[in-house]
Amino acid sequence: MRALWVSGSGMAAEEQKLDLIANNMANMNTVGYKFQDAFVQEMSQVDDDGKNVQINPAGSYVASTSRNFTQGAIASTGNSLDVAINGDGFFEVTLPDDTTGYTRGGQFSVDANGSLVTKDGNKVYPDVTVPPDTTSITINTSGQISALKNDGTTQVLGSFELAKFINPGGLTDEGGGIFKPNANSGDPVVDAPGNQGIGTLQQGYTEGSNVDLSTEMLKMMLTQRSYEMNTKVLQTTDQMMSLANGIKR
Amino acid sequence: MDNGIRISADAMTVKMQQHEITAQNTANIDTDYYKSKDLFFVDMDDGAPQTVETTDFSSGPVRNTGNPLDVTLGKNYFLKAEDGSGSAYYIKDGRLSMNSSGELTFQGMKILNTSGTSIKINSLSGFKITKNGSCMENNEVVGKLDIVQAGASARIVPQDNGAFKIDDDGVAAPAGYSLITQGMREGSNVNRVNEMIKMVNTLNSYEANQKLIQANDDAVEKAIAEFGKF
Repeated sequence: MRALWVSGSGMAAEEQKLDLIANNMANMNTVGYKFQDAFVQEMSQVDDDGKNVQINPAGSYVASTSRNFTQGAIASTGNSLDVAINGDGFFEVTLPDDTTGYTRGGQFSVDANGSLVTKDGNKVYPDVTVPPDTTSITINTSGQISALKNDGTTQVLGSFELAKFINPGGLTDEGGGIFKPNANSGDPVVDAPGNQGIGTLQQGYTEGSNVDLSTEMLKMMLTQRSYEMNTKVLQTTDQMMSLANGIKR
Repeated sequence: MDNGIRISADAMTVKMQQHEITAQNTANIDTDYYKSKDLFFVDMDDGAPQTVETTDFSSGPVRNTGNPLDVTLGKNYFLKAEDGSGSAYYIKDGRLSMNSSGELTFQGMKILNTSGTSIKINSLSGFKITKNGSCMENNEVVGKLDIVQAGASARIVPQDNGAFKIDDDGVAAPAGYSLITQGMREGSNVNRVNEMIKMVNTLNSYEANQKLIQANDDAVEKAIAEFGKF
């Protein structure tokens, strides 16, 4: 009987993995997306009386999912408000609930009030307001944002700050490429771009996702075959149970 | 006659246990660092079949992930770690992580260096582990992983948290030089073909024992009918 549940748990874990693979593939072209991976662990209950060890199998389960924060490929877009981070840092943004979020998605635009916002409308922190008579914006590698105005003068609007975490893999995923710190990730260390390996900024470029399509395809094929094998074991368990029932004709 | 039925019934029980292990191996066919298990029938004890479970510690297929926190260890090597209450564990699963103080961990357990303390780093970029377990950050040594070798007769007991317990006299300093590889992850060492063959064998032998029980039952029935004629 237990074998049924063991195979069932294996199938459930494979399904969860497939969900993550599908999500990674769907976000292959999402700017700043970092791929997710399932941390699958064996599940069993071990009885040890000091002499004999009895392992009661219980299958496998997805203990946690983790994000891999390796650098994505940086590609030129020619858009002056696209900014890619080359390094470990995150942009700081103000979320609608006035808390600070952290993102790698550097596709900015100017909203109706002149504020510099991300693709999802979250304001860049510290606030940057672009004057209406601006003809072009320049962002240098250390994060300084300056506007060239109609009258030919240049005005410094502010600076991008980057935040770094000792354990980015532990960040809480808020969806939409926004992350928040917690006890696992450690507190953000804020610095100007270019300092302490926090990363430099590249204007006119975006950071692509770090999803590797061939790896995801391979993982998908393996996951499908493993799911299939679990169903074979399930069928065999059923056959054995039917044989046990068949003792009494 | 009665005894024959009992023996076959016991055999069916053991075969079902074997099948459960196959189910466990199959459920973990994609679980990184999983070590396949096997079940052997050893003896009869007070009329009940005694079985023993064994773990195959051989290495699974290794693949490159480029993640500096993925490590693979040689067959009999383990990393020493410690949980919050200070009990020692041995780690085979090289999917390490970091906590918010920059200490190397596995599932909340701190990975220890050779002097019995944790290993702390500031940033993953620039973190290197050499083949003999020395940890370097930006080319400066920050500690050496306490890698141990389990003896041939060591009692290695798996724990619910994915780690192992080994008695202190079961471990020794590692004999080899190439102990650990960084940036690589080891897959499950379950062999798909072997598991399927074992499963078919188990099923056949389960069925054979079922038939034996039925044959024994037929014989008993016949005996009752024949003796009834007198």
